[in-house]
Amino acid sequence: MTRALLRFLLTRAIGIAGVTLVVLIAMNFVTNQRLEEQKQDSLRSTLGMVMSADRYGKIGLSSFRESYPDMQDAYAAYDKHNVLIGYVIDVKQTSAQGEWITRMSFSQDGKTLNALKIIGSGSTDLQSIDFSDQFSEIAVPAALLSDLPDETAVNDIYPPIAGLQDGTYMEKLSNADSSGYKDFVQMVISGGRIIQVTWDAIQNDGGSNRAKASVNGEYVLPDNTVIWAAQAYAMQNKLIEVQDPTQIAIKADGTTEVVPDVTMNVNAFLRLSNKCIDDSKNGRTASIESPTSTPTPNANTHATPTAIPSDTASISQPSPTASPVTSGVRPDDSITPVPTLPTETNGDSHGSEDGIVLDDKSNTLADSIDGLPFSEIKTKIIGLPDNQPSSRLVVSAVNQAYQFLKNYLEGRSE
Amino acid sequence: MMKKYPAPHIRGKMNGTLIPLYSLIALLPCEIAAVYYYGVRAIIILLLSMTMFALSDYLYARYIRRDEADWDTSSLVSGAILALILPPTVSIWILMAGVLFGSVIVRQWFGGLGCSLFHPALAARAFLSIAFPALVSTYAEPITSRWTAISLWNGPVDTISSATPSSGSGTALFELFSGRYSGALGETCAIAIVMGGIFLIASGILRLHAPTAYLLVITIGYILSAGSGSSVQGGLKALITGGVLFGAVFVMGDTATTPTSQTGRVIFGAGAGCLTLLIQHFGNAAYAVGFAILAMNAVTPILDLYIRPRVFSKPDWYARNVNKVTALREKKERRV
Repeated sequence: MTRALLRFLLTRAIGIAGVTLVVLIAMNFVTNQRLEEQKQDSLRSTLGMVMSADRYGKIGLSSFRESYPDMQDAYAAYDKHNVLIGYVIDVKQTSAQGEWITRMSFSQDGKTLNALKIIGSGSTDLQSIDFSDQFSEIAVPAALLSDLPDETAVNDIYPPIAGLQDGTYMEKLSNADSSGYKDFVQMVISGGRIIQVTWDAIQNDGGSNRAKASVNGEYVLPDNTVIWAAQAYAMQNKLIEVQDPTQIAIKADGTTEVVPDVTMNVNAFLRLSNKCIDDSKNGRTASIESPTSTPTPNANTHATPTAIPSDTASISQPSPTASPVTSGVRPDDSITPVPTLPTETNGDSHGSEDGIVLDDKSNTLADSIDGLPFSEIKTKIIGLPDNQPSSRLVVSAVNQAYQFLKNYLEGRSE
Repeated sequence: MMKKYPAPHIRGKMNGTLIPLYSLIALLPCEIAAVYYYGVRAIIILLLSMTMFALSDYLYARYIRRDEADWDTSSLVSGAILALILPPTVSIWILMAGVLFGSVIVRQWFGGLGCSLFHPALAARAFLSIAFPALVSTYAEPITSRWTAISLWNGPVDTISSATPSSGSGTALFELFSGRYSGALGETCAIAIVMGGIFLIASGILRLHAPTAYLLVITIGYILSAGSGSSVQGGLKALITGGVLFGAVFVMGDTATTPTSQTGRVIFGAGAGCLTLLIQHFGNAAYAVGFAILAMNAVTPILDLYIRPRVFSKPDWYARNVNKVTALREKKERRV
């Protein structure tokens, strides 16, 4: 084979390869456009039932799969000017009656559920207009009426303290404990009831708050059982439940047996809560407690001072109105009691050492639904009388989609 | 002293080394399409198949001390064709089994270059589809599986997305031409096959008798089966899917396994077309083209026996070209 022949063959090969590449890329460009158009047509016909849009963009769920395992698909919907008009979310659910997909459309901020459709033959009664129409243009999250505690019953068992004025109140210690933390309690009162309590402590030298530090393993309690944030969370919930700090009896060493799993000193929490209640009664929005009541630090801290925590500002200048958004660090869900209907209870108490222990009402008064506190629930849904479990699943799908969107939107804004 | 040479005495510029090289260039569009749609994996499969086929042919020829044992460029073509008719998810050990079967059993045991009864690549593919049907019938989605790490050794077990074989049903004609649907590595992109075919025809390598007859029979078969529902689009789909076009262009042009006479090649093509239709309707539709051509490969010696070319026996032809033949003969003698 001569060199000329080789050159000839090589030229032909390069030429044909170049032409092929150009043709392939051009054809695939056109194919991509056609496939995208076909896909959008298909999406318009399927997702249009809950939200009409000119274009739908798929949202990647891979990073959310672990937290929201039932999430099937999520799309951002755009109008013809490519402006975001909302989101469409599919949640796949299974019950004893079979499988179905709950398809929902949400507003741009993820706080309004525009429409909901049940797809699939798993539970045909859920597709009834009476049930699904309740999900049209509602604020989310939602809860089944039967999931929520009977407010009258709650009021009877734990009546609110008289004279409380609505607003957000905050009290903090003026002196730091030996670990360098200053405890504070923030309380939201709405409708004369305590609806939200946050107990945390700021690091004197600008490090992470105590709740965050405990979650990160930087602040460890000596008994090394439940982390500080989880115990604080349980105390907050207990106070919301009983409405009055005096209902939570403490022993001489500052611990309590009223709240399960709480083994640490809660003296500061109760003292600051009482101060917040006083503030509410007197209409004071913020004050500093005298430095005489520093709680005994019951912990070994390994916190390393870092940047000033971003939430310091919100502590020093609390919002004047009740915020429905849960604040503070939310610990493990395992400490959240399973939501159940309130049952009859007489609220009796019996003695214990130097305090009193109330009957455990954690099972009678659920404090969260689908991981969302009651204070956050915006809409009550009437479930199907003969199919409460499936109704519950649909509401759960709505709340899961709400939480996903919240996280997704927060992630985008960051 | 005069030396005696066997016929033929008139030679073109093409020879046993050049034809495979031209075929390799013609296969380039299909190979590029395979790499475009299936990424690095396609490159590895193609290179491995070609080198293993050539190496196997060479080593076996050396082992049995065949005189003409040498690097054979047609082995590269067989290796490339075998890779292109296998699914992109094929594992290396399946590929190796196919290469060894095509090279040693189909090619070398029948006498080596130019002597094999069956097309080595098609026979290897048929062997694999019978021996390992599940492992050579899992197809990956093009583009989406381009850079996904499918294990080369485990093959379809690790396939992220699988699809039905390349029936092309439900796919628009444009996508069928561009090759954007699941199928064998090099059989799906019709435009690449057409480009390779044009190159082969322009180079004078592809003789159109067998492919034309084959495609014509397939078209007639489609019209007969579709009846009043037949359409140009449906006809084109029948021609460019299932490896029909690839078989017509790259397999029916093989000089060793197709008849030498024009009539023989037409019969070969028509027969393969009829068998393809029969197998598609009553048998394994996924590999109908391969089995049909292999069946006609078996008939090729009979066709050559009964339909012999009679070029030099025609007095009128010799009378017209006697001066040319004489001049060539004299030229050759002078050179000698």
